[in-house]
Amino acid sequence: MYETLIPLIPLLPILGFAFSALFGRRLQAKWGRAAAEIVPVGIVVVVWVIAMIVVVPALQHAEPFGETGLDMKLWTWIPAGNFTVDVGFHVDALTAALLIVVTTIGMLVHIYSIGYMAHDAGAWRFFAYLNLFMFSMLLLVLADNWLLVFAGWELVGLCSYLLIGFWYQKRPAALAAKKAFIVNRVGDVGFALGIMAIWVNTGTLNIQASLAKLIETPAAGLVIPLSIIALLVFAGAMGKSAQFPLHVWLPDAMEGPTPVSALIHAATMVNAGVYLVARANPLFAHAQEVMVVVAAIGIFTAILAASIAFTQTDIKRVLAYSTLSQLGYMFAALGVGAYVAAIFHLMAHGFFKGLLFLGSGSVIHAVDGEQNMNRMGGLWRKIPITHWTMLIGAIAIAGIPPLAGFFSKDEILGEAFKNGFIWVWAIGLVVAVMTAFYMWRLMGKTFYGESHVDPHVAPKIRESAWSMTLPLILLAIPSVLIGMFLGLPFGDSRISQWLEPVFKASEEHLYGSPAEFQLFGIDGVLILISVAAATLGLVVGIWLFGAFRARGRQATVDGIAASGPATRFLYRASLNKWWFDELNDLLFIRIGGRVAASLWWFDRTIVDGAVNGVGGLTRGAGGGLRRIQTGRVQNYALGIAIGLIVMVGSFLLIVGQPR
Amino acid sequence: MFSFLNGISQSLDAYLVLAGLLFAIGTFGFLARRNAISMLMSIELMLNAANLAIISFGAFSTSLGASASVIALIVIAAAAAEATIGLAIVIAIYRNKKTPLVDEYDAMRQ
Repeated sequence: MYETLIPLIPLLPILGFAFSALFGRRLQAKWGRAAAEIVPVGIVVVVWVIAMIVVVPALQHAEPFGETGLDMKLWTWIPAGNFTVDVGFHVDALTAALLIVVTTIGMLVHIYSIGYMAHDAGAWRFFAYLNLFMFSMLLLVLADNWLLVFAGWELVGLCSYLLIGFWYQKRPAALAAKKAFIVNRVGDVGFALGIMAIWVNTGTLNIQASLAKLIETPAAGLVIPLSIIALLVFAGAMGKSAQFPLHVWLPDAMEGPTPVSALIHAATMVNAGVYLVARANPLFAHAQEVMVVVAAIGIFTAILAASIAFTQTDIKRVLAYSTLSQLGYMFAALGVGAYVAAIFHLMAHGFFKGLLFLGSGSVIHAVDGEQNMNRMGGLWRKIPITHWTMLIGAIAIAGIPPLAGFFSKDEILGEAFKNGFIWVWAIGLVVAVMTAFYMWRLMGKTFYGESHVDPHVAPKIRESAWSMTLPLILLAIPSVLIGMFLGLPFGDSRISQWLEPVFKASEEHLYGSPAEFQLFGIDGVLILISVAAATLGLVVGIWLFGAFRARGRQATVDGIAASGPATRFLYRASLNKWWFDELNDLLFIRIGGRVAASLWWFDRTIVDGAVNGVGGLTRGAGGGLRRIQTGRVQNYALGIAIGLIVMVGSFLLIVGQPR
Repeated sequence: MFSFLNGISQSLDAYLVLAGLLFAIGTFGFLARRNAISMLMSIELMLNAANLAIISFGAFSTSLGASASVIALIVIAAAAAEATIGLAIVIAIYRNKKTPLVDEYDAMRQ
């Protein structure tokens, strides 16, 4: 039964894409948007149902999945001598965990988009792209070989490009799409090289087989060392998951429609990098120097992005930087060997960040397209469902128990501490305070205090349609419950039972058997510290930005920002995103442009010169030699005579006189 | 009666020197004369030089013997055919170009 159900999971969305792309426009023109939407949305609902049927036994390690997962080969894709690639799927607990996030949030975003795109003439195109994205992401997650993963990897990048630039008439959107695509290419080159290196070392592209072979082979037997491969694969993950220094594309990607930001740029596609590193965990566990790099880049991205989120005024950009920061957390977790915690945070984050993005879309819809938080405020009574669901999301991401973010974040911090990465733990704790603070800044500026909404728009503020509020409510439920469901009981949580077979070997290789969980010992203290950090951030946030009827203290905020040279510098650095766009402009546009121009000169004069020189030499030689063809008999005869003399003369010289 | 010739005729070298001189004169004529007819005559001179050399070898070498005469006859026949065809070509060109001078014959250059 599963052999038929699993291929349907990616197959149905691609059929939905083909249907929408071919007929969507005519259906929409003839019978309206509903006709164009029913097929793509219906398909994703069906896919969700199928995925849930597959996921439940896969997570419980029931037959036919077992602990190692179900392998199924569909057909041979590329048979070329000793290089063969199959199209096949591998479904284990890790795949299942990703399937839950992708299909659930994908389905809710599709439903939400019905309301969000209700006034857009290109709705059919939007749904076609969304279906294509679902196919690509599901392919990426299900694939059992590196090349198929790479195909899905590039396809999600393509969909991201298409959907960021969905409103291609808007110049910033078109530019942001291009930026996302190009920055992603940088990482993808690394990933492609990594795949080639894996093949060179093992001769197979099957993920499970190649990983097993890589870690069995002694270091001397490898053509390319493990640490190089791990770095290359991580480069791909950095691009897709927007880790420093490739983080610049994600905030700009917010130019796309909000459902896209929620689905692709918060909950699913940007998690592909985390999935990739988690999938390749044996490789990283045997290249521990690379794991330190992963942890350092992750935690640095986390604190960098959190510091930028402090001063941004665009509601979606704050969420984008928050996403960067949380992705940084996940990589830090992967780097310290807390694989389960990383996937746990991935799932929890998918739900509450999806919720926050969809909520921000609902807010933007209510205030007629305004995204600047300085022109919001006091909205909590006018759009109550959006407010309450977003409040849940904000508390969840801040890490207040018993909501989702607390369990996953605490597990990351705790593991970092216990695995000896005190610096990761300390920075992570600071980031936790910052996260709670800027999330409350977003809530305070948007929903509480005085209204700064445009007076023309203010009377028209309405709660969004049911198709938009229903997904908010449906996402708020897991944002509250998923932490308790997956994260309890402490020490032997449900998610670690699920994912243990995938990560156990690597964890034991790194740290041996885990210590017993002590609620009234080290672990309890760590929990208290992280809860205190989150509470501190929230309290400061509430004090400065207000809550419900309580007014914020905007004057105090401005006073702190301008109080001294250090704070003024920090304020400006945060506002200008630490000048990374300017740095890239200088490095790659100005200096890179110069280098390219000089290389172009080299190409034009030296390379082209050599090629043209060979041609010119041949022409010149021909032109010169042409002159000896006079057409006069006696010149030829002279040639013959000279030739004869030379031949006879040399014969006599070499062979010598007769006799 | 021809005994005064004995001292000379006993040496192959003398004949070969004569044949070489004849060949050189023919070559010089072929290269230096501009008149097509003179050039054909120079070719005849070279062929005759070759014939003289062959006959001399035949007289001095027992293994070649009478075969030399046969070779010389074939060369004479070939020379006659060559002269016929050469003259015919020269006359045909002369009718077009109105000149016997070969340095005007440069149509093959194009």
